[in-house]
Amino acid sequence: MVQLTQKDLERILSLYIDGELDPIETATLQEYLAAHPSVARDLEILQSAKKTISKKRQMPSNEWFWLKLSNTIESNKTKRKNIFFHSSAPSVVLISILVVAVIGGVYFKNTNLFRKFFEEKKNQVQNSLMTGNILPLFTNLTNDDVLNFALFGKLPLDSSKETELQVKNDENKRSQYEIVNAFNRPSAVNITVSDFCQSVGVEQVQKGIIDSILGTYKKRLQTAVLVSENKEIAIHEELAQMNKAVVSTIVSSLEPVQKIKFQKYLNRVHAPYTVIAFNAPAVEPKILFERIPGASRTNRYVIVSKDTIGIAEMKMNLDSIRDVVNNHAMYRRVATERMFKDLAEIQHGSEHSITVAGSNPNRVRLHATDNAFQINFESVPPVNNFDGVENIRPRIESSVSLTGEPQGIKVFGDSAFVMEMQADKEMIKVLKKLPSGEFRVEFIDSLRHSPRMKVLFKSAKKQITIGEKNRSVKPKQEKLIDIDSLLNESKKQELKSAEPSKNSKLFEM
Amino acid sequence: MTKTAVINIQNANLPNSQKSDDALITLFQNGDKAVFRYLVERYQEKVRNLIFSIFNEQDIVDDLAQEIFIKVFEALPKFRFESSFYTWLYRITINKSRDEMRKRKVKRFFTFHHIEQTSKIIIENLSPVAFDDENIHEVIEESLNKLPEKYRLPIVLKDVDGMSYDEIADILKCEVGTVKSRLSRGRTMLKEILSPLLLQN
Repeated sequence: MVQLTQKDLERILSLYIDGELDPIETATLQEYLAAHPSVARDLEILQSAKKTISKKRQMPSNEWFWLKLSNTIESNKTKRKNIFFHSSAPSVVLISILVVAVIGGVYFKNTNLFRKFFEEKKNQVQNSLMTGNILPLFTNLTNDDVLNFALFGKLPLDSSKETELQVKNDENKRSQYEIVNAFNRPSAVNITVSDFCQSVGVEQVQKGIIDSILGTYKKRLQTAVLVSENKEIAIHEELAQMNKAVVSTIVSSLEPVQKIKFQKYLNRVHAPYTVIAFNAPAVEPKILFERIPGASRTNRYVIVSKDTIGIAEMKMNLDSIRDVVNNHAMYRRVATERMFKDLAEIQHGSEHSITVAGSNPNRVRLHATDNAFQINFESVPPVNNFDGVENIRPRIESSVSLTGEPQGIKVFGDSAFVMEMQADKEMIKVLKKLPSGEFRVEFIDSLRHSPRMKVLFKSAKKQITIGEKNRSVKPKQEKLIDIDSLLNESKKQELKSAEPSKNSKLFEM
Repeated sequence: MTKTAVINIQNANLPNSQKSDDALITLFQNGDKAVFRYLVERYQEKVRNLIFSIFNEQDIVDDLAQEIFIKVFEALPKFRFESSFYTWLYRITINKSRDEMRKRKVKRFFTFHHIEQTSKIIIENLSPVAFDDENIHEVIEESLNKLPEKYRLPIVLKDVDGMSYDEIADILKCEVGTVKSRLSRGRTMLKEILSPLLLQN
């Protein structure tokens, strides 16, 4: 009989269950086991444990893994450009911000702190969009949807089409994105491609071309609006032009007689376009499709979160996003309606913190009302993103909220807000209410326009009003407070409060 | 003929999804960065599960797995084919996980103590089960999590991933004899934890 030490035995049993013993060793062990039932019992436990461990519970698979990874890799490769704070010419960036705020009795002043803070906040959103799980908003569009978008600038946000994204433009190249409840709007005509083809007298071959045109733009629309798991939205700047581009491309494919019919059709459905160049013959399909750029020419997105809005350059891996959409039907038509409602509710809440920034020649404004919120994006496109837009002229009325407004700062009161940043002026309004008392920082400043800057700290029964200051006056370095200290102070204040404020995000970094 | 040339000839006509790891890496090193996707998709679940085995927390898995693959993406141009891709990947995974563990231990000393205590309580509160009981998985996982990492990892690599002793030694940067003795010791410890929890029949 073989005599084994405990350590030898452990080692041999381990090798045995891994199938690493040779036949002679195996036979020797089996002989030993027959004489030692307690060891045989131990072996049984080890074998069963190995078997169970081999079927160890697995992590649920992550369908988004590659998409998220590829975007992170892409973003690491691309030097992200913050067009608000980095790309403007130095002369343009010489904007004065003088901020005085009181947080928990802390009094500080420093333009750069706020600048840095808002920049970081925007970058945070940008990073979240770049590296977090993002979802294309329009994943299940039909050609009918694309045609409706082309003619009326509206895209359904939910399957019942109760909520819509409305894209508007005016002559001054201002774009407006409005998320609205459809039932609050006058009933619009819902058109179909078949109805359109019949009305315009489109032949079978042409219908195929029109389907292809709509399909091509559908692919672009799929990635024009992205939403993140953190309720942030990124809207590609080309979305505002795409509706016109679709109509124009369709017009290019029509013969002169069909163009006349198309104009009649536009009038009948009250689509806001006028066809021009009626006599031009139909463009060859090959040339027509060459005119549609295969990929976006810019990487600029309007980004919106519950407390930040801005314009950012983001290089997304759109093919990966499309891949996910096409390969995983379960992700289609996600419930984004709720997200928009949440966002609208947050945005028009008077207690909420708001940051908006922009830079010349871009300007972004967000205006929340009780029923919807609007994103106004004024931009001079760097290039005409789509060829062939000369075929039509938009007849769309200028947006009500934009028409006739003087240039400059606008504030719509506490239930709504407008934030602007231009080359020569900046405006920031931050409203925050702490459970311990109202805290409010309101900062609207422009050297040129001489607006006001005001800090109220009602919980301390203290109001400080500070007028415009000369930007050449440099704040003393020793009085500067690091932004982290400021934020920590703010957090302390919140922690002291009986109940946490749900709108405290602005001061959380 | 060089190794790279052999790989290219053998895999030239295959779709990327079926090419060997080495062939994909060769393509990657020659500028075709898009093939990285196939490597990720081939191993992402293995890496995620290995992280889960180490931390036993779902929350950390995806973030850490992303970091690992970013590191792999950055290091792949310098990969020298001295070991197989997946042992190299596992080594990176384990090293990154250990880094993360160290960070956590520093930052969350008390929390870790709490976790240890909680784990102990869970073990103590488990009712004895038979091997054919559906709760046996829970009992064994909890017991496995009780083992120190140096004994737990070889067991996971051997029993879950089915690796050979040589591969485990390569990943853990130790001798094969060390792997064998850690497996043996780890299993004995596991048996000692499990024995009182198992019904005698």
